[in-house]
Amino acid sequence: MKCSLSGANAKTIAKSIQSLAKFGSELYIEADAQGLQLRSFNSSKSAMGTFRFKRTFFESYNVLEDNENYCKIGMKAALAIFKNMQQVERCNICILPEPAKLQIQFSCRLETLKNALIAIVDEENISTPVSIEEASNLLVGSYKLFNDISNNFNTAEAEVTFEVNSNGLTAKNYIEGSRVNDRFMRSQLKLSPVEFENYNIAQETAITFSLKEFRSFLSFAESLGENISLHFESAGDPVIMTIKKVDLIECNLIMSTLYVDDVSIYEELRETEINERMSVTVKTPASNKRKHSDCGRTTNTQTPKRALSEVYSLSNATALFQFDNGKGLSDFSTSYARNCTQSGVGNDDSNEEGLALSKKNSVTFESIDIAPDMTSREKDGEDEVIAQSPQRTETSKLRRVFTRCFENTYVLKEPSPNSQVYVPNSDTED
Amino acid sequence: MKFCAKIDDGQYMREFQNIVLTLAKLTKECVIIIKKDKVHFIANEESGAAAPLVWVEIDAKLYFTNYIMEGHSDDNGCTIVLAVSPIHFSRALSSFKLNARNCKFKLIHLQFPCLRTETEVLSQSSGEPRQIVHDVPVTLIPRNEWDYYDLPQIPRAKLIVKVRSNNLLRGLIDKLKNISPTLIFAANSLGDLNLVAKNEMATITTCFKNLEVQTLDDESQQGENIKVECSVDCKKTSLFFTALQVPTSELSCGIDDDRLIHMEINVRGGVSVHSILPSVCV
Repeated sequence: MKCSLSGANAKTIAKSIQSLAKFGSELYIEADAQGLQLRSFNSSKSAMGTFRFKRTFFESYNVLEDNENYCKIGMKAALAIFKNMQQVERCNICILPEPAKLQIQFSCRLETLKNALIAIVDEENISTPVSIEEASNLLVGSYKLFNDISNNFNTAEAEVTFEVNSNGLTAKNYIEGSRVNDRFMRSQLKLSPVEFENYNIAQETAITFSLKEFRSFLSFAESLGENISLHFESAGDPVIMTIKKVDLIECNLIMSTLYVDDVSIYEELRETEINERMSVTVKTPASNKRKHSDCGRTTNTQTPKRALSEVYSLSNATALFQFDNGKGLSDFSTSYARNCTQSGVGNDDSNEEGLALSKKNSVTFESIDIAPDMTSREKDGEDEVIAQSPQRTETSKLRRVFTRCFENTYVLKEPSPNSQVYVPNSDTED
Repeated sequence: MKFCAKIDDGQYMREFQNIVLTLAKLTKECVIIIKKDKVHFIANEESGAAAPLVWVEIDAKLYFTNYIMEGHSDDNGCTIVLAVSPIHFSRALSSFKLNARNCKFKLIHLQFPCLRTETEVLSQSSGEPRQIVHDVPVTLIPRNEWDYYDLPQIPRAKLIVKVRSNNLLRGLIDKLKNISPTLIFAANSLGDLNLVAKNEMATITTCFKNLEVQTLDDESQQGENIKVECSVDCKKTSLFFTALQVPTSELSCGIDDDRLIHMEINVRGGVSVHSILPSVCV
């Protein structure tokens, strides 16, 4: 594969790589007759971002049909190269089959030529059975609108819940099971349907997804100045965020959403008045009670999904994303829209399983302390719902190291630094 | 216990936000005392070890329309005392900057007591109203601790000088804190204010002249030139001046000879920010 682009377009590709770098650690590059595709997914495999650049985006574009046209490179390497793009006037990218390297050449101002060779890590290709047509709900809005939504929440917020019904959209920050007991801010933003370019809700639902990946794509949409579309179905089904620029650039972010049972218990909170008893703030007994009530509510519905949690490795058949190893096989397809693999669109069960898996992965990735909570929920009817956190094993070492601090300052038997006599006492009277 | 207040005017909302922003820069936890006709914010001295004691007094009728409060009755009438993190509170008020129409404060109990801020904002692009709700967690202070948070009395200073603007003072004190840990405020009734910083190598004096002066007590001394002087901790002073987000056209320093300096900023009639800087031994 060989292609070249103008400086301005190279800057766009740099921005897309920066977007993907915010959550991905590896970059998958695929080239076919239609154009170039950049893909990445996050470490918990719960979100996948794709950027497709049509062939007309490039000044020259050569693809040999039966050669290696796809590769996987490390994200850090790609990011380091596409960093300072101000001086770049032209860019050439080509895949060198032997040695397996991706060559990127920048022709910069003042006759400078920058040449970079990135080692190709693997020949791997990912495809996904998720397609847009399945989604019945559609939201289209300008990037400014979604920017306002995103700015309403703290930058540290991990997840956000979008509740859609005929009256409008409510965006809330999502509080996970174990965090519910802490005291921190909750925010809510209500938007009316008029604010969106297209507000097509066939099914009222509430979806919860990660804010980090959403924000990274939002920044790309801002640089392009284009609208963002959100396609989704219901809680648990993936949400697809698309940005399109004319026909040249098409970006998709597929994210998994949380299942209904784990959605924040915001709805259950009724406002009550404060009375004087509440002025004494004792956290631990109340939080114990709360975890108890959480457990009681969710144990009966949890068991089928929890069994899956034991299986941590993603098998190819049930994954949200599929990995095809090998070169140029028949399953090689770069567009998810025209992709129908063996698990197929109709096989909803395996999709759901795969999503439950990836959801579980994403949940454990977000908060590690939820793991003891999960194991306790599996045991039905247990009194002690909070598993003991593992004891610190280093304490004994600490005690040994600092024992001297707990003793008296002056200990007679301790050898003093002056124990070695350099000059004997010359006082004749002693 | 009930508290419900509404602000309808955009300018008042921005001033309120500026006050909370000032407190956010000073301390991590501040106490709100809600009374029948006044709202006070107190920034604790120990919570932010370097921060000076700052308190804000707001006349409730001025800012809030529709002010309902029902608290515990004590000698001074109904009172509610809350502790809140001003940083969180200022985040809740951050939507005030975007063309907010009105806002409502409510004290509610979700799982823990919260102060709910409901802001109605007009979006710039479509002109449609949006509702933004933030819940800030608060701690209720039990009645037996209320004495601890009694409002400090405004000290009687011999001489009060009015400084015209914060900008000069702020930059100056910021640079002087590197010279010496102690700063001396010296003023006289002719309208001169001197800021002196001394270290082994140099003495730096900045003279502000022709400032408005107000003398309080001792009418007999009116004819004479009263001189007052007080040494304060430079870091505390610098923190106070850099934290100020409110417009400071009316900043007055009351100097109590060798005891303390009392600063007062009158944001508008009925709303004022006070601070006390204790004197230090040189």
